[in-house]
Amino acid sequence: MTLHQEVASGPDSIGATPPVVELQSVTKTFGTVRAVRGVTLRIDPGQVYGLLGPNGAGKTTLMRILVGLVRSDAGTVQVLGRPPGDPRTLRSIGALIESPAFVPHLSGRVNLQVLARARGLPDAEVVRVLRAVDLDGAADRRVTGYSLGMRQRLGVAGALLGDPSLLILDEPTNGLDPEGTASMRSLIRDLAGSATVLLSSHLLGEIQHVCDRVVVLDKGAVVAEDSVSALLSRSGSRSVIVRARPMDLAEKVLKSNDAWSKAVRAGDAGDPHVRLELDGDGVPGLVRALVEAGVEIHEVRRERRSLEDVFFALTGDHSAGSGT
Amino acid sequence: MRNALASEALLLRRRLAPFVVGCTWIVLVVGFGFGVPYIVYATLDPAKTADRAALLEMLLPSAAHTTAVGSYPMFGGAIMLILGVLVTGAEYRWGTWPARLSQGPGRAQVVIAKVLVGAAAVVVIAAAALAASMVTSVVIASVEGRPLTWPAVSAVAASLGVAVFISVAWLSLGAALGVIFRGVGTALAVGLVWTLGLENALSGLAGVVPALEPVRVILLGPTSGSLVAALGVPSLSEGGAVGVAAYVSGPVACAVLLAYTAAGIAVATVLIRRRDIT
Repeated sequence: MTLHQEVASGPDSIGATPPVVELQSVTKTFGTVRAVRGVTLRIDPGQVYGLLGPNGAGKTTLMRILVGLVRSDAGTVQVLGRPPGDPRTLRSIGALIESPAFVPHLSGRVNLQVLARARGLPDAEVVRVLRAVDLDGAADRRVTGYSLGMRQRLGVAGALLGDPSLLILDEPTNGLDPEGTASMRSLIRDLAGSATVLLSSHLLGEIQHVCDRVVVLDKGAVVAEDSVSALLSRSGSRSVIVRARPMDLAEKVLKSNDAWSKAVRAGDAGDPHVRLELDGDGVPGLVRALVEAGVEIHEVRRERRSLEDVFFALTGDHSAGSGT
Repeated sequence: MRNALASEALLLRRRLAPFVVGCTWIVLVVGFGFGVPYIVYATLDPAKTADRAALLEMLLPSAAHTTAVGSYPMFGGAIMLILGVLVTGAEYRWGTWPARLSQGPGRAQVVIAKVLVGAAAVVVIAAAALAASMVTSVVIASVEGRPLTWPAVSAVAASLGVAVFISVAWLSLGAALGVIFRGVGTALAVGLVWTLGLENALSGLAGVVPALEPVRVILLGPTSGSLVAALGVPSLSEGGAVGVAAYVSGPVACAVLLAYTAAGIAVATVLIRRRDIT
């Protein structure tokens, strides 16, 4: 049995209909800071949800609310059909929120055994999750001697205890080396078949590759919630890149037409091109006009924007990362 | 609750705190309860026959249990308060409360389990301190050529019970302080300054200001001393231990100590239940 098969083998099947998480107009204020503002969200089972937002967007607060560590001021929260913090709910949730914390002078194994006993799980379960995160070789070392990446893996191992049906992971690849990051991504993808995963990461590429759907938070509010593909096509879908020779003539042709007059020169001297906003059905007309003007077309393509571009467009922020 | 107890028992068993606190307490009981008095006895003017005899009598096996329990009102309580603070306050220092409170057992169950497991540790520590006291008294009796006269089992059990009763009250207070101050440092500072400083000052003032006398009834140190005195342990003025004095009756002292235990657990539980865990 492979490492990932082992992790994915245990959980019970998840009901198809009811949402795993349902939030209605949830608000949370700390003193004068409103960390979460009227968040309404539904998370369906079996998918990997990415939680994106700049620092202070409310991602971690939202995760804490779901685990019952923080109580919302207003709105309703249902996790696995029950209020957050309900003991029966907690036993079905695995969570790693912010940096993993353990008793430093105890070994990784004992730290996990303490958590496992609180869930009524046998020590064999600890062995299983340690193997799942490839930490069984260092399990008997004191946590104080662990690297950041090892602590992170131990934290994920703690979240995997008992095959939770909802896994909440806040920056799970933080501190991991490239190999560890790839392994963690693979692990999360494998878990998606059997559990719902809510994943927060400041690595937008990671979210793009791992998640099925993305929730973008900004200043405590949800500014977008969609599938990754829909989100990517939503923003930047009208941008078209034109590479042609001579570029001056191409630019003159474009500027002469009102529909294309906002075209802007981009690139450098070695790779000059023009970028303009254009609907899909406008491309043939554009190509025809350029050809008729004697312009030699090298490339006309619709610009594919990354999740990072979408994120910046939605939040107006250039520093995605972990927050409150 | 069973899961919470199993988890907390494993955690406390693997921690250094109960061992360090326990060993420290045993050394203090043996050192200050038997070692120092024996040195005093050995160096006392041989002409003071009655004083020497009375002092030695307290160090022999027949009185070892009362001598041991006489150490609790002043320093034993403070030691157990430290253990209580470490039981709850260390979770803040490590940042482990979120993990502890998101495994399934309810918040109240986790806090109560912590105090119950701490109380179990206190029973072991008190029993070990009593055993060490007995061994020390046997050594003293052997050195002095005195016959080994054992106390009644019921008397030893009563001493152990009182020691545990006092210790659990202080432990609960410490656990509450650890939660109130969300850590170890401030909780220890406040707890020790209050118990070793302010309580003694208030109790001393009550001796000269009659209006303050009722205050003694609600102070943990004087009520602990009163419960020990109710066992027949001599007070300091009678040549007994520091802190032992019959300010209140045994039943009142029991009630106050119970109230401290209940209040400590209640405060810690309510705060953990009400607060956001961040």
